[in-house]
Amino acid sequence: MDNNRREFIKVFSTMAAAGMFASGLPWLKELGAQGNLKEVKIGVIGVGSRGRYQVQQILMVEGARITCFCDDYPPNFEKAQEVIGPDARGYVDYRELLATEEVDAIVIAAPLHEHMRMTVDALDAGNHVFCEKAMAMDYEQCNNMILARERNDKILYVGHQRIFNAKTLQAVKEIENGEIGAVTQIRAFWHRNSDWRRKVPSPELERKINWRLYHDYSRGLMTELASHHIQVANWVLNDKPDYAMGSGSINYWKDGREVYDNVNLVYHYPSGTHVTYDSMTSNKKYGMEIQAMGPLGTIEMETGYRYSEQPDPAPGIIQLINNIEHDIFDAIPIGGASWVPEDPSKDKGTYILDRILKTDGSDVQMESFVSDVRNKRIDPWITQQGFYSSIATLMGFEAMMNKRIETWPEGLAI
Amino acid sequence: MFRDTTISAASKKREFIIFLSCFTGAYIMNVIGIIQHQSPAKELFTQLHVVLLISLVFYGIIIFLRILYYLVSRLWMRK
Repeated sequence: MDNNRREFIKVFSTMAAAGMFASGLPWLKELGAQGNLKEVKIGVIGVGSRGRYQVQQILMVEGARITCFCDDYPPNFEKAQEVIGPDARGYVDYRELLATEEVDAIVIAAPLHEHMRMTVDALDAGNHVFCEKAMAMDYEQCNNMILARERNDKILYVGHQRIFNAKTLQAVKEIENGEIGAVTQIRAFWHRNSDWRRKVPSPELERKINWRLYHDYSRGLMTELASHHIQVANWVLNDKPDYAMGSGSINYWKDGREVYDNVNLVYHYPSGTHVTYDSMTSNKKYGMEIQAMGPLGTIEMETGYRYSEQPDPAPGIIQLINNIEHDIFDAIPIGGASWVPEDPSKDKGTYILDRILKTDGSDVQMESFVSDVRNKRIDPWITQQGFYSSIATLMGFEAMMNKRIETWPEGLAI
Repeated sequence: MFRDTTISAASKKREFIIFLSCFTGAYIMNVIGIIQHQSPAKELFTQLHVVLLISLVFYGIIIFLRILYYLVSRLWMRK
């Protein structure tokens, strides 16, 4: 176990001991355990860049073994074989893998349009499933995945690693404890300055490799990025949005892509709280952040800082010097000021953890999944987070595409 | 330029008194700041680094003024 991982486990242990997790994190006791653990056999479907990243996470989990994998793109197949090792059997067709192999769980990291049928088939074949976010292309597909999980009574994880990120957990805890008061708005954004393209060795592979850019395979920025922040917003507000509105366009990368290169959305929650979300691919000054705001303060969950609405004042002597400086150098107003600029707070904030952690939670998420599979422990909350996030994400997509207010689809609930 | 120099005891004492006066002035500012802005009394000690910094600024200003006085008076004497 590397040091960072040890550190993370320490943080989790402290949080669990403080009783901050309603579920008690049943998998925590197994974190970092070595030996005497029943082996969990895993098959990985889709071993592109994200799939291989998940492979790395699995390889770090004590007692987990990748026995097979599948990919129909030869370069991915070869790289995966190299990373996983020669003992793992490789397949080009996932159905053959499901029919031939006896595994405990399947990890799916294929393009979005494949998620539904792969997940349903894997569940129906008697496997537990970890599927990368977002769940699927539309409401019906997402629901089909939930029905398959219920039909087979299996575990279904959707890859939302922030659930296992110590910073996010601490932020949620502080919000629940009222540190910023009632959450009255959440502002989330994810900005990049890149075309989101991957190199294509020959033109006929364009859609296969750059699948994120086409509507037949993806819902673009919504399913690939927004789903993470929407999941956190749902978690913080302990609810799901009742309607969404938004607008998107292709205003910069006019290169034949079909998905929007910028999206702007407003989600309304039953409490009256709004979540605003925007994503763009032509400017990265503000990067990504999810800001939970209340009358007492703000928590920025990606960077892990809390800001008070009434930060401690500067020391008296500093204030005195500032006053003297203002008296000497400020312009003398002729009339009384009718408006004072409401400049942003200069509060530098407080880091919410007592240590810096490099992990984003992906490693602990896989640890948790393996532990749940080993103990056949089904946690509906984890599935619900993925389901509600995916539905809300698709609501945003539908609202933008159809230029209408999109309401939560009736009857979709866990 | 690299001659040995001697600083007399009187000079040292004078400079010490000047700096002490600067420090006292800065400390009084600290007290006024605490009273005016109703800051916690612990700032009498916790802000000593700021007091020291202000003392040095005051002392620097005084040195500047003394050098200025010295240059002006030398010019005056030449006339």
